[in-house]
Amino acid sequence: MLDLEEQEKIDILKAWWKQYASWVWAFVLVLAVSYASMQGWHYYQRGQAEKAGVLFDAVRAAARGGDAVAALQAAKALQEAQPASPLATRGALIAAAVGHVKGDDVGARLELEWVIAHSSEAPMVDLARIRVAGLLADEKKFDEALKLLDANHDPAFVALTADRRGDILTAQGKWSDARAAYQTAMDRSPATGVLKQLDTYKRDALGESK
Amino acid sequence: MLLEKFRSMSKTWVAKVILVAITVPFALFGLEYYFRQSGTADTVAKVDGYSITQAEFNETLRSQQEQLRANNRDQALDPASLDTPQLRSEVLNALINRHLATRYADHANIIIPDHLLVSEISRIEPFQDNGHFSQARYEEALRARGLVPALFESRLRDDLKNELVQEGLITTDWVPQVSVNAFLTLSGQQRDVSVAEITPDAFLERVKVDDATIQKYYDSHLDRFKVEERVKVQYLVLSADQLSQSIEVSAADVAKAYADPANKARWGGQETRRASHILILAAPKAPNAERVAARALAEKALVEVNANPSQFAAIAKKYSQDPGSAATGGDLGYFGRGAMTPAFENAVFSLKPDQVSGIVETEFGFHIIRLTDIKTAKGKTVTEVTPEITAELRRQRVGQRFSESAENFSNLVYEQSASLKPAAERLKLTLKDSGWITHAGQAQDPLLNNPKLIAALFAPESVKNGRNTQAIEVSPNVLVAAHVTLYEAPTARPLNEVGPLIAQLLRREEAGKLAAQEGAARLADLQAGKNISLKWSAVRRLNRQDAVGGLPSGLVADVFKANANHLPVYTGSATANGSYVIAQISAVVPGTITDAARRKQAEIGLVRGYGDEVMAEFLAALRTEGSFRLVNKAILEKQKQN
Repeated sequence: MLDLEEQEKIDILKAWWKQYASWVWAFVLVLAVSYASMQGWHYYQRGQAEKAGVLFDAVRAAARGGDAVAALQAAKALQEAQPASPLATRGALIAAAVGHVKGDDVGARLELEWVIAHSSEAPMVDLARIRVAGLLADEKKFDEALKLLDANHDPAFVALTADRRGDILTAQGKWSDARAAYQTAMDRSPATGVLKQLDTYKRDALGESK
Repeated sequence: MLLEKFRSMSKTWVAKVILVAITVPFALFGLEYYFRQSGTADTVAKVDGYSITQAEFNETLRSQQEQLRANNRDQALDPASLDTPQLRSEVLNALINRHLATRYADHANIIIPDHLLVSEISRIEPFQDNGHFSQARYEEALRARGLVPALFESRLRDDLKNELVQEGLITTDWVPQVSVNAFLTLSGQQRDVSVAEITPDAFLERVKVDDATIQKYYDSHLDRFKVEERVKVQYLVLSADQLSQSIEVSAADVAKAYADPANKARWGGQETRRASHILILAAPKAPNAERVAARALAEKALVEVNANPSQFAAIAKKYSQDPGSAATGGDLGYFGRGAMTPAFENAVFSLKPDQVSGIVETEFGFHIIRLTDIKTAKGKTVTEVTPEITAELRRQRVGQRFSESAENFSNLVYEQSASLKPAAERLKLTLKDSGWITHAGQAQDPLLNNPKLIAALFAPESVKNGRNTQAIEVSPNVLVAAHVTLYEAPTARPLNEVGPLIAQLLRREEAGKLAAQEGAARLADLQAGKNISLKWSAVRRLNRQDAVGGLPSGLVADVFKANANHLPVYTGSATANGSYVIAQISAVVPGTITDAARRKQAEIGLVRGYGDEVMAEFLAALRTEGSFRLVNKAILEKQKQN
């Protein structure tokens, strides 16, 4: 009953399997291992995120209740436990904001400086510098504030950095430097931004046009 | 046979391979992979590997349109304005921004912890039953929107990621005092200005305009002197309102409608009753022992009530397990028939006032009911409601009558198209005559200003061939057919009529040019420090934001742009009425920074302004080249309705 042709095909298949079986198994093994490690990594990350999330909730809850002391403490706990988590960056920013509102500018600055030193998100680091510069300038530490702004290099907040620089230079009475800073802010603010208009006003008021 | 065996084996092999091919990406990339893959055919744009599908775009567009409609509820919104290329591109941009922010969150490794997602979902009201999250409600609500939980949850995760990104950027920001100061001193700067106006009137005498120039102007601006074509028409109106007057409604019809049980409730007279009850909860499916215990408790309460009927409220407080009424002594207020479950209702409506029922069993459990009051409202008599019923019956009947007449009307004006008279006679309608009508409408009878009708009036069929227009529905249930009786072709006003007007126009134009020349020369003199005499106005203090009465807006901008280091400073510009205005800036006053109310107001405005700026700059930085790609540009065009 056996068809010769079919028998031949089956022989070829058998030969192929004999020759490549170990490769196939190796391939399957690699797949399985990479799948397992991927799952493991996901699982680990989720676990870390859960832990960070619980601590982050505490920062948020304290901030919502207007309790600056508790917020700063919770932010610190989050930073110590999960320094690499993006939630730690955000916890610090939240704590800084509620600290500032409640008059604790020293605490606010510590949080922002933690972001500058530890966050891996370049835009958030630059934003934190802009906020610290504002705190320093309000304490009349103008030169220190300007120096801090010099460190901003991310493309994200060029216009805002220039605008803050202009405001500080205006406070110092350095009109022509302020004017140049506002000009930069106008030039670099995107079409949908508000600094294009606002900084035109500020620039024009400083004279020396054309 | 072996071959078949082999085949069936290979089939299972194939099946396994397919199974692996399906499950591996699922395990590695998650569920989104499938929703994205299924939509690749109608991808609108790609954001960093994520495909925005046509469906997602449409859904966002629709919700944006609903938003617009809700915001403009008081005015009729042109449907066309809800689907413009501009709106479409705004929607697409917003979608791209949203996904860019989500991708940023992914790159920054922002993961939404499960407990956050769960608490967010359980907070959403449509998913709740009695204030608590209900799985059944949740699934049902999602099905209604055509979503499965996994997809909804993945989207919600994305939303929460974006919220976290935004929280770091905006909500945690504040405006430092240096920025408030700079804004108030600089943007709030005021400048003292007096102005001198050089008017064109002084130059009118000097300007001569010759006939050739006027002729040339006339020839090149013929369209300005055009008189539009216009028509007078005879027309017929067929409306449902008109017809309804001729519909007879007999007294018998009214009586029949009044007596209809379905209408009974409308004429009032329904009795309402007030009752109190004591409820002992027992679900029908509860175990027998439980139900027996509940019944025993109810009987105990009944004994107490019967012993002391006046203490019903106190006993209800003690026993009743109805959370809504126990505290108020079981009082349920007034209700009519149909409000309560049938067994309960029957009991209430068979009691006499102050009488107490026995034990009444419903799907809630066991009740003891006391009727406390009966209110009988006096119903309206048939005479009182006759006008209401008559109007309603007319409305019902006119619809049918109108559609019959409308068909008749349409046929008559079309078949006997040389005149409207036959249609008027047959349908007993009055022929009316219009005044002049142009393309712009402006007919006295607003019915004639319908664009479709006007287009028909000026069509060759009507104007040249003297045919009736079709019957056109100018508003719901109003048909108009018209016949042009008089037509005037477009023409132009003759030169001898408009010549003087043209001469005046050209002289003013020329004089304005001379005034501007003169003004610019005087301005140059002033700027060069020469002493010249001009008639200066009184000094005014200008704010940048002021819309200054009489001063051209361009001049105000120029005044604030002028370099004011050495005063006085001069600037000038031509106005729309042909004058040239020179401004002398004599003082610059910095804005005040000490006014607490102003500081507060400025701060509020700046917080929002800087928030917008932060977001705009952040998104602009994410929108680098290659961060997203438009796949289907046609989506930005208005789509044909189908």
